Formats: sequence, structure tokens, C-alpha cells
Amino acid sequence: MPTLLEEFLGVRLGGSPYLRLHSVTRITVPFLLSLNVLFAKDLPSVAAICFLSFALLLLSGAPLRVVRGYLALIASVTIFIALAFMLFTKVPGEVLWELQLLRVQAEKGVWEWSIVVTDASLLRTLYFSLRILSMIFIATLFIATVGDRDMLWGLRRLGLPAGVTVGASLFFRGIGFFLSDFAVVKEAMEARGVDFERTSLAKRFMLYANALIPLLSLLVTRSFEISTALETRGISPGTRLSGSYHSAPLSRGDYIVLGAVGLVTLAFAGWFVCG
Amino acid sequence: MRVVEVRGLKWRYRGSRAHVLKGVDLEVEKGELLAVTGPSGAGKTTLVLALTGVIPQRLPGEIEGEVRILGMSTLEVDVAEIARRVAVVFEDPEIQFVMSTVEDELALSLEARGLPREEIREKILWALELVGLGEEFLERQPHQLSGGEKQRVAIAAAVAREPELLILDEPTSDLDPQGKEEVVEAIESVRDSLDATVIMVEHEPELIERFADRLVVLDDGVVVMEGEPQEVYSRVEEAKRHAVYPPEDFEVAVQLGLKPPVRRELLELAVLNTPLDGLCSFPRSKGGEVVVSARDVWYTYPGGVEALRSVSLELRRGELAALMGPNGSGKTTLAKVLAGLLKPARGEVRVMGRPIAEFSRLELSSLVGYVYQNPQHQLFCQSVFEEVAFGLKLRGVRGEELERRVTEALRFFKLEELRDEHPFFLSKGEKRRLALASVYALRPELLIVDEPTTGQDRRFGEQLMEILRRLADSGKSVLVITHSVDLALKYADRLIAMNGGRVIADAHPLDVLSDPRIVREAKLKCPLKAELCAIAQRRRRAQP
Amino acid sequence: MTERAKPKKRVTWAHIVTFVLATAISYVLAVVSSAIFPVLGAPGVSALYVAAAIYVPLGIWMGMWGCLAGYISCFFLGLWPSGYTIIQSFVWSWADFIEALAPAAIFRVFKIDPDFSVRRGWAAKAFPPLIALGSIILLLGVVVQVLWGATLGEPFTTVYVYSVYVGLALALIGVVLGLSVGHRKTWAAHIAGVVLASVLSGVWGAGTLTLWNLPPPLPAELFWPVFTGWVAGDLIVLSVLSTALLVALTPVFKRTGLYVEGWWA
Repeated sequence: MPTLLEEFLGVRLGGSPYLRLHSVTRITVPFLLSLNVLFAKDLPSVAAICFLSFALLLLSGAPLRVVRGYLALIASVTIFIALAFMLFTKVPGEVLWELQLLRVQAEKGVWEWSIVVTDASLLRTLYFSLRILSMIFIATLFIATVGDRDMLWGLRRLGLPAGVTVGASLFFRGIGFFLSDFAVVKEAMEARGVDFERTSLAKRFMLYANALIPLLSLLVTRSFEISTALETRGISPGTRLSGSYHSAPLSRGDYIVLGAVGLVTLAFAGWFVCG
Repeated sequence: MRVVEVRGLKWRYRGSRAHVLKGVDLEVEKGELLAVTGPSGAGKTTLVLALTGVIPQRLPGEIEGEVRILGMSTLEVDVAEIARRVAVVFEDPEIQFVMSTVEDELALSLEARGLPREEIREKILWALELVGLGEEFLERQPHQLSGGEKQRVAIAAAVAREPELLILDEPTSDLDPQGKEEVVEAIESVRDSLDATVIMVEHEPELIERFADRLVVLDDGVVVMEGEPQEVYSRVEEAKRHAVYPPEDFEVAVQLGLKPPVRRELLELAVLNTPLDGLCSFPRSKGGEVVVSARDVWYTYPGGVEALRSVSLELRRGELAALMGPNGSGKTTLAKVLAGLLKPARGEVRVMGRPIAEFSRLELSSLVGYVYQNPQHQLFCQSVFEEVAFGLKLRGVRGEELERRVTEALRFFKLEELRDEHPFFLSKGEKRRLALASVYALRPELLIVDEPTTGQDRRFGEQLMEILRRLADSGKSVLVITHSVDLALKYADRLIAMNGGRVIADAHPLDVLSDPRIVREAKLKCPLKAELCAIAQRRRRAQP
Repeated sequence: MTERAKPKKRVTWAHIVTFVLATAISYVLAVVSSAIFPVLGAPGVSALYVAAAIYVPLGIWMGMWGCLAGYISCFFLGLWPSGYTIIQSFVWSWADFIEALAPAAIFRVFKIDPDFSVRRGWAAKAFPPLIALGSIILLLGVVVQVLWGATLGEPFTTVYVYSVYVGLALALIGVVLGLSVGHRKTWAAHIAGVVLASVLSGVWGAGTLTLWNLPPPLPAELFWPVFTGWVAGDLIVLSVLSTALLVALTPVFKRTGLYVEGWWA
């Protein structure tokens, strides 16, 4: 069954033991890991989480090229965070480098705008960057190992009504509808003479309004047709659909993994409280 | 036992001025297969919704009369309750697929009944087999299925519930010929195996004749004709007035002044030198100046699918060319390459003698107009007038000239009275005409139209092709992608047949359809008229 | 006997399916916007958050459904590709809920039946950039005053004063033009909704990303740049794009019966 990563980006995972775990496990592990990020208050703890989430990502069989794609994002985030600490504040510490950008003699004092690089600001930048990196690894682990079907069957087993479970399925179908419709609408605008590449940013922005009109019209049409089809199948929003068709028990491996990650979470919580 | 009883049914949608159903009386006996036909906008789908209880329970409006299904009044019994015994398959296979796999889709309605796992599995497999799909389809996702397969899954999902009444609302309308054939076989199989009453809304007379015990014609919200299909079709002129076209052999026989015999008899008559004058008159334009030419064009999609392989052709002024072939043969790809919407990997495309790459998007779209299959994809504005004006405004046309050109286009496509209407509220046919008008207003030299008659009744198809014929006769070049061989034979000067990314035939429709090899390869359905006229042509040539 | 079939006001599949499909569209647009128009290294925050043009009008048309569409699309955006934790995303996403709620509430509290028909096309084109620009200049002036003018006085105070005059003037001209577009109440409610939505969602959004959020994913020092970028971007998107959609599609939602007078049905 394709995972979200395969559906969104067409990236298919190779087989790995992690993927054979129960869907409940594959959903719970990233959730617990994301709790750990909340407990990381210093550099060593956030580095540990970063390492752990990266290791799990590798174990899951997720191709590293997906992570590579995030490097540009991480690099820009790191640079901007660093600039935020250097441009907008002076983090107390040993000043490593300073440059005055602007100096204004104001009525009640002097306003200086400087770039100030301190050792503490660099460490704080590193902390935030590692934290974001951890969150990205965990998010990637989730979408690389969980498919929409896993989530839907999970919602079913929770006993949620059809309005939620079928709605969740339609969310993923909706993404597919929108992407294909958008491609056609854009092409149709080009067929009418719109040249997106050679248009100014402002005009292109306005043209997107014209593109959204047929997309939303199609949304309304589809929603009526889909609703009618659902009604005539005897499924109303409040109908409870059993989750028994796809239920399977957790295996020993599931319990081991869940137990291990649970213990790690407790350890981080303890570190947060006592450390 | 009466399964369906409808008495004096009238229905008006909220916000609508006119009633859609104006007093329908209908009865369907148990075990019957009733066909319902009529022109687009007659109220057929509204009737279907009324039979399921969705009207009036879920849609706001005004109702009069009574509808009883399996003894249940649709005014009193909830839709969900009715749906336990009544199943519906709609026209659009895409919107009926709400889950992410075939298995989940089939299981959905069964789970609502709280059936045990094993029973659900059993019913799923049984239903799949009934519609000709194997177990390997269980894990397939919607985007991996063809239109015909999706519709068969929808039918399987309906029959898995073992309904007492099965309603099929134009189940083959949106499909290509292969898809249609698959669904027809599925219906045949279901009909034989399921002990259910069936109501089938359909345009195709051949399907109606094949399946229906009785035929009801709905027009302008009332039942206007009723009886056995043969009986209804034999009243040819009256049926045609209600946009109901009889099967081809009926029509041909009437045209020849014969009592409607079967196909085989007509063919025998043709071979035996019976005069076929009047039957075999087709447009034949040699065409003038070349508007667009393609030479050795290849196109490969990013996934590696080779959609066009060494395609060469010329489109000329004054010509109406039909582009035909099975799904995946490259028709739409070729059309988009000719319109400059796709860039070929190899080969050359020229417009008015100049390489296509030399044109800006604005210039090119003024020379080559493209109309998409689903008109909703290309309606960008909030009034009919604004829609037609959209392309003109992009070109800086304003004031009186804008008004004049828009009005001219609206008049040509009979949309003048709707100029202030919101495009969303136009009927399907009106939307198609609006899409055409918006492109026509730009005065392109070549007009490419993608499957304009899909999902429409024959009368609309004829009207639309007449308009395109007029455009060709006025000096434009027109290329129509279509699956309708009848319309291509009647209106086109040329039939370009494709398969596997190649053009396998490019000649007069009669000449192409006379070649059984081409017909087989391009998966075309050869109309009877073509067969008869081809025989007559061979006879003429054989005479000294 | 004619029965006026007015189905009971209850939540139907039409509401749910419209909401779900709109959420899907919003999510895709959110991902695309945050990738193409990022704001100062805050993942998920976009200088031109086009998704708002979907769920904010949906809030006006369908009440809570629009607010939920905003919330859920932002929640998923937070998870992927922005990489925030579930809890951080849970808290942050209320920004988009608030963004849709503000205009929806204005229309419902003041019982205004939205009529976005345009009687003066030129005014409809002119007012959005005036309001957006005026508000942005005003906002920048306020930020300058808060950050520096209050403590340091001149010349920051002068910058603030002129920004306020110019910004207010432009915005007021925009408002007057906006009211002349068509149905006064509708356009007044819409203008107020656009400004309120942008500011309130900016406060929550920037605040939860930088100041508070168990813990916040980004440093506190980024609050003002993120807030300014957020509000400016929202003002542009809501005043230009969502206005165009409201004009074009309000008749569709009303005539099809999808329009919700209350909050749910």
C-alpha cells in the first residue's frame, strides 16, 4: 500500500522490517518522538533526539534523497535564525564579531543596529536548527511509513462516524482532484492566451483568482455529485462503519517497538524535569 | 408486484423558475428492465433522484405527487432506509469512488450493515467476478483504473448489496468505446445473475434495444412515449422530435423506405444492388491553405510513456477532420502539440507556415483555439458575457469592439439571452457552447475541440457538429476529437485514426471505415451506413 | 398537494464533502505558498498565503466549515513540510481558524446577508490595493513606534506619525471606495473582516511560533518580522484574491443551497 510520501512525491520505500509493523505502531512512534522534542531544552538533549529520529528514519528504509531535499530548507532556516539572533538581539556571551549597520541619534538616546555574533547566539542557533531538523525527520518518518489507508482504518477502529472516516478518505482524493484540475485549468488559461512566465508578478497574482474560480466551481459540482452518491449508498454522516474488516492484532515486534519508544519518551521527560 | 409507482410527480428546484418534472406517471413491475431516455435536460436524473428519496429529502424545492418504491413512500421513509434496498450507479465513474482502493470501496456499503468480515469478503469477490474483474483489482487505486474499470467497480459496489431495485443513470455516457463495451458486458452479467428490477437511463438505442423490456421517453419533464423499444423506435419521426434516435438499422431502413428489417437483411439488400441513393451523401472538402502542419512529431511524457511516434499531418482551411482512436492512442497529446500546449521531443510543428516556437502564447492562441472536454475547466468568469470577453480583454480589445465581438459570438452559439447568467448555472450543453464561443470570439484559424459530444444526447451532438461544419465551410479548419463514428461519418471530411501514438489512417471517413483492418486496429465501431455505402461504392467501381 | 420540501437544517454530506474538498485545496495551496513565498525562515509561514483565499470566503459562505478548513489545512501544513510537532501544530493552526472566524462572525453577528454584486467595477478594482497598502503602512508605523519610538522618541516618532497619516488616509480612501462598490453593509463587513482577520491571525500565528507554544518552535526575536510579514501578506491575499472569489462565487453558494446562514447548517 502506498505511503503518503509515495502519493505526494512518488517516492517509494524499499522493504524494511519497520514497514511490517502494525499501522498503530507506525502512527504512534512519530507521535511519541514529537513529544520528545518538547522535552528537549538544551543542546545535548536536542542533539540526542535529532540523532534518534534520523536513525529511525534510516531504519524505516526512507531514501536519503528525500532528506537531502530538506537540506536547502534547513540551510535557509538556520541562516535566518542566526540572522534573527544577530540582527534583532544581542544574546549575552563572548562577542566574537560585531559590525555596526546603522546608527541613529534619536531624541532620547542612540539607536544602534548592529550585527553581533556571540558564542551564545551561535549555540542558540544550533539548538533551534537541530530542533527543527529533528521535527523534519520525525515528520518525514511519519509520511514515509504511513499511508492514508492506515489513518482511515485507525479512525474507523476509534468508532468515528462516516462523516469523519469517509471525509478523511475524501481529503486525500480531493488533493488528487485538485492537482489534476489545476493542471488542466492552467493549461486552459494558456490556451486562451495567458502566458504565466512572461506576466508580471502582480498580474500573475490576479490571474490566479481567475484560475481559482473554475477550481471552486468544480469543487461545488463534485461535492453535490459525491454527496448524492453517498446518500444513495445508504451512508449518512452519522453512520458508524465497523473497523473489523481490516483489523489485525499487534505483534510482539509492535509491543517491543512501542515499549522502547515509550521508555525513551519517559527518559526525555525525566531529563526535562530533573536535568 | 409493483416495484415503482409514481403518480403526478412534479418537482421544482429551489431558486429555479420552472419545474423540472411536470407530472410524471410511471410504474415498473418486479423483474422488469425499464429504459428511460430523452433529451438532455428532460429530467431523467431528477427522476432518478426522486426514486431514491434524495428528492425531496436532501434537496430543497417544491414537490407534488407521490413516489412509492418497494411500497415505501419517499416522503416518509428516510433515504438511508430506501438505500438498503435500492442501489444507484451514476454517470461519472470518478465521483463514485470515495475510498482509496477497490476493496475499501466495495466494503464501504457492506460495512454500514454491520456484516461479519467473512461475509463482506465473500460478497466483494462475488460482485467483482460478476462485473468481470479479478481479485488482483482489490488493491488497485482509482488513478490506476480506466474509466470502464471504475464504472464496473461502481456497479460491483451497487450489486454487492444485492438490491431489489438497481438504477443505472447513463452508466456508459462518459466512457470511451472500450469502456462502454466492458460496462455493457458487466450489465449483461448482472442482469443474468441478479434477481432485481432494473431501471436504466440511457441514450444509446442499441443498448436500450439489447436490454430493455420497456422504454419510456421523458421530454420536458413528462413521459411522452412509452412501450416496447421496437414499438417506440418504429415511430421514428415522433421519437426524433423528442431527441430519441432509433438504432441505426431502423434509421437506415426508414431512409430507404423499407420496413425496419435487421442489419443482416439490409446488408444483403445492398449487395443485391438495391439503390442506396440519398443514403450515401457525405461532405467532401479537399480543403484549402494549410493552417497547421506536423512533421515527424514525437512526444514522450515525463514518466517515459511515448505518446506520439513519428506523426505527420496537415490541417487545412475549410476542412472538418475527426480524430479518433482508443484511449491512450495519442489523440489529445497530438491535439495539444498542434495547439502549442505541449512541446514535441522531436519533429516540427508549423502554424501558417511558421515554426510554432516563433509565436508568443497570445499570438498562438489567436491562431489555434482549443476547447477542453470538460467545459468547467475553462470557464473563468462570473457571467457569460465576461467569459467570452476574457480572451479579448487579454488582447486589449475594449469598448464598442469588445461589445460587438462578444455579441457576435453569443449570437452564433445561441447564448445571447444568457449573457448575464453565471456560467455555473448553465446546462452542460450551454456550458459547452459557451466554451466554444469564448474561443470562437478570438477568431482562430484552427479550432480544436476535445470530445464535445460525450455525455450529451444525439440531438445536441448533431447540433454541435452542424455548427462546426458551418465553421469549416466558412473557411476555418476544425479538428474534433470524438468517439462518435456516426457523427464523424455524417459531418467530417476526414477521419484521422490513431493507435499506439501513430496515425494509422488519414482519409475520407467512408474510405477509412471501409478498411476492416483499420477499423479493428483503431477500435472503431463501423456504422451500418458506412458498410452499406462502402458496398455501394465497390459496386460502382466494379461496374464498367 | 404541493409540499415545500425544505429539508431540516442539519449537517448533510454536501456540507461535509464541500468542507473536505476545500480543505484539501487549501492544504495544497498552503504548501505551495509557503514554498514559493516564505517569510524570514519561518517554515510554513508565507508572504502570500493563497490558501486563505479559499477558507476565508468559505467561512463567510459556510460558517464553521470554513474555519475548520483553515485549521486543518494549517495543521497538516505544520506537520509536513514545515516539520512542527503535533502539539506545536495543534496550537499554531488556530491562527487560520481565527482568520476565517473573524469575517464569518461579522456577517453572522450583524445578520448581514452577503451580496457581493458589483455596481461600480472601477471601485471594486481600486479599493483592495488602497486598503492593503494603507494598512501595511499603518502597521509598519505602529511597529516602528512600539519597537523604537516609544523609548527613543524622534525620529522614530515622526516616522510613526507620518505612517499613520498616510496609511490611514489610503485605507480610508479605500474604505470609501469599497463601500461604493455595491451593497454597503456587505462591503463594509467584508473590509472590516479582512483587516480583523489579518491582524488577529497574525497575532496568534506569529505569537505561537515565536513567543508561546509548548515551547515555540522559533526564537522570540522573530515575532515582529513574522507578524509584519504575516499581516501584510494576508491583507494582500484577502483584499485581492478572496474579494474576487466572493464576487464570483457567492451566487453559486447561495443558489445551490450550500450557503449556511448559521454556523453549521
